[in-house]
Amino acid sequence: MVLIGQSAKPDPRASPAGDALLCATGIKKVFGGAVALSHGNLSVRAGEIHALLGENGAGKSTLIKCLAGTPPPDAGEILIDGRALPLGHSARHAAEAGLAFIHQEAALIESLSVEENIALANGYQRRGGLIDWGEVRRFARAALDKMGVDLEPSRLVAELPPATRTVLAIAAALARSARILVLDEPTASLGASDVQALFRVLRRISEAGNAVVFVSHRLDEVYELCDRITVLRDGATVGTVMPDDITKDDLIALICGHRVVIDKKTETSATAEPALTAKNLRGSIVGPVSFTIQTGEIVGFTGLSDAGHYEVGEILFGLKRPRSGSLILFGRPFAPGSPAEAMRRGIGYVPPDRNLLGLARDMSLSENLFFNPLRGSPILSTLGTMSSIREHNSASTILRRFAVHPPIPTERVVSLSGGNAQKVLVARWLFDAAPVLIVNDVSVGVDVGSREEIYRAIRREAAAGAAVLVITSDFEEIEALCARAIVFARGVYKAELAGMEVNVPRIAACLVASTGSLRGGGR
Amino acid sequence: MTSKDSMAATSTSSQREDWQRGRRQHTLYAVLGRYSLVIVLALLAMGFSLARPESFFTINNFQGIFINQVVVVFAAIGLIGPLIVGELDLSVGYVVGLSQALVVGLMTLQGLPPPLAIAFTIVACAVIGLINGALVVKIGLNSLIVTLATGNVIYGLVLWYTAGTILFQGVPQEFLKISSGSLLYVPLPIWYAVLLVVIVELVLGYFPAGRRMYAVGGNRRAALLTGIAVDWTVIAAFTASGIICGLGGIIIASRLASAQPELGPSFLLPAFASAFLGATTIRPGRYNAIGTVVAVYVIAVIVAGLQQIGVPFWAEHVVYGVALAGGVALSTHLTRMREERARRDQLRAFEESREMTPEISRL
Repeated sequence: MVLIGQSAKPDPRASPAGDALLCATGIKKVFGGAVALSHGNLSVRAGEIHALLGENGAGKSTLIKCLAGTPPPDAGEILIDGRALPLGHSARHAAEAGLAFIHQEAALIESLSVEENIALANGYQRRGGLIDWGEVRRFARAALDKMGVDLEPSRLVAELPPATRTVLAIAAALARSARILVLDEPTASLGASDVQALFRVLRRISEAGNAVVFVSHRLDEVYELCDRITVLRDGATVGTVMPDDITKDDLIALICGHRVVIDKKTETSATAEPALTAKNLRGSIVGPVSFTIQTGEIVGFTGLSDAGHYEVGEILFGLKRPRSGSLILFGRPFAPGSPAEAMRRGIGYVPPDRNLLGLARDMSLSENLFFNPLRGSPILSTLGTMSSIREHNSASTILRRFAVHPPIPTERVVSLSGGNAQKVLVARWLFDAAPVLIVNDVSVGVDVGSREEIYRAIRREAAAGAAVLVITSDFEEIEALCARAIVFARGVYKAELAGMEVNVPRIAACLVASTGSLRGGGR
Repeated sequence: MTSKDSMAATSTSSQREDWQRGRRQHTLYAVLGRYSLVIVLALLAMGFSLARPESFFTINNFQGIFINQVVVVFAAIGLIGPLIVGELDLSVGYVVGLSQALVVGLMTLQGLPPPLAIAFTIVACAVIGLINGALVVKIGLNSLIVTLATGNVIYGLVLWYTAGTILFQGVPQEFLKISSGSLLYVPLPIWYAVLLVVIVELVLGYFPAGRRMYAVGGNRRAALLTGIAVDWTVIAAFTASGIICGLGGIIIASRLASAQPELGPSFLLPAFASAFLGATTIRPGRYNAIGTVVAVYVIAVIVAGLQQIGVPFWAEHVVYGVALAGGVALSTHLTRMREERARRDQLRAFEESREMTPEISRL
């Protein structure tokens, strides 16, 4: 492996100074009780797409926030086009210097139109003191055309899919002459076709001489898209490498600080019996589908994000009523009318979006673990009251078992990294062993190390006899976890894969076969 | 075993000590922050006592402040239920007004015996809460609008029922006993407030029901997905608010031996100011019963003290307004200062430890 930047032999392609458009050195930041970033370095050239990688908690988000000035770093130097930002710079300083930040939930106003959002970033065009709406629209259209996007400026942002919103945010940033774009996990919630469309936009703007910093947990995307990679670990930059010079395994080792052992899937045991059977199940998108899940089995439901596989989970958990069809759970008919009823029958449900549907960010870890204290109830004592000491001890044990860092029950979720927050959500549902587990998008926005820990916990449940249903559009997750996978396309059963067939290329091939192209299936 | 474990193992012991030291300081600030409002209350009481020893620093004065504010305690604690589940209840003052008018009116106009009048009044107030809650969750209306609307409807009905006059003739003696007696030298109304605080604090802190309320307020959709009956939790919070405010109305009716048609709305702002200010103390960041009571008395002591040093009558409302906005702003500022200070200490500790540890190792 060749390390560039800090290595002894200088490489002309990667010299940190010189033509760097953005050069941050020795960035340091301390939050509350923890050092979030001790030594962050990042050098990005004009015209390149530069990946910023690291586990959750490694300091990526902190480095980005420090660049943005929200809040500014405690120490360190940031040069933009050779000119230093003042220490303690504000978000305005950063924006004026040409930095733009595009987050997962792009900072757009949903109730306004595309053109108004571009005008908000850039200033409304005026004539005689009044807003010149014709000019506002022409300006917006020009900004979108420059990126090769066909989007009607009068449409409301609320109507746009996530990928288009990200593109719009990029257009708005470029329209106010930003030259360095920082994208924080822009692909986390996108399907394969949307990712490709976004990549085309990113390539186009980098070829126009802008710099793009791309944060992602999906290493395949990094290899596909990026010119150079900077890796952060434990709050410090550990190196900058070229994708061609480093294998995926070595890159993972660089990110984690050690090699991650990817567990092999467990095969179904001989004592399996049917746990859940669906017959001709039909929802508003999905169906009719029929399937059986055995005890001890991990089955994957996958497809593009609107294929209907998530709806199956919602029906099983009582969030939606099926239009028709029947369910049998451990030999008895099953028609849950509410999550509470589904839980009483032994169904656990890890929801897809941990911030929206899973965790209360301002509440403590133990409150989040025992969010509904009647469930599992290791903390209830006599008279139905709760003992705070018992709760604290149970929470502490559970947090350690699921490798949550820090394992302090009184800590608030908001102070945890994304991977650790996700482990709390997984722990909430896995600590008391529901016989049927539904896990949605369990590793979205989770770093490699945490992901493996979460997978291990899920495999442990299956080995203990739980029937596990993995629902996701992340094909890698299906490949890593499932011995059997059902691929959905436009609500219907497209293919069933088993054993060695369960891999990313095979799943993608099923979808291509069904729709003609991956891209066509996304709409 | 895991990546995080091995990461923790590589951090030096000195770093860990620094971390713990930072935490201890953090904890100290947290404890000071928790009781800051209690300290403020003590300082205010001492300050006004020194300024007006002959009138402020008397048992009568303190007892008066305590008893007079009992109804505000009821309204404010009634309010924290809806606030905890993430809703607003602007009807609290009006429900107090309804309760006192109804309980007196049922006895004097309809001639009902006191126990029956009380029972009927509590049921009526519970129904108001139930309606508020049902409109919010079942029809999906904004709670601000719902309770503003129901509150004004109630106010109108009270004016109609009392014909806009004060009801005071023929209030039975035994009804007055509810608030006139004392137990262990402490007047009964204060016991009622203590009982309420104990019950509410027990429910919020030690029963699953309270935790489910905080969960619903913390993330409503997540609460639903853990099997919590979110709709019923919200309805229950509004109903409890109605009942508690109803009890407050009965107590004040008994104390005043009358019903005043325009009494209700004046409790709205003190109740909100107390609930918000109370959330900055005892359990900071959470609406809680003890903090709310402390806040009620902070505001009451300021109002009473200012009146006794000769500030004009209208100052009361300025105090409510300033307490509402200023209290919340102050607590936000203090929290930020605390975090900033802890951060600086941590940075210094880190600089020291860094001098002792070698450069980050390279692969």
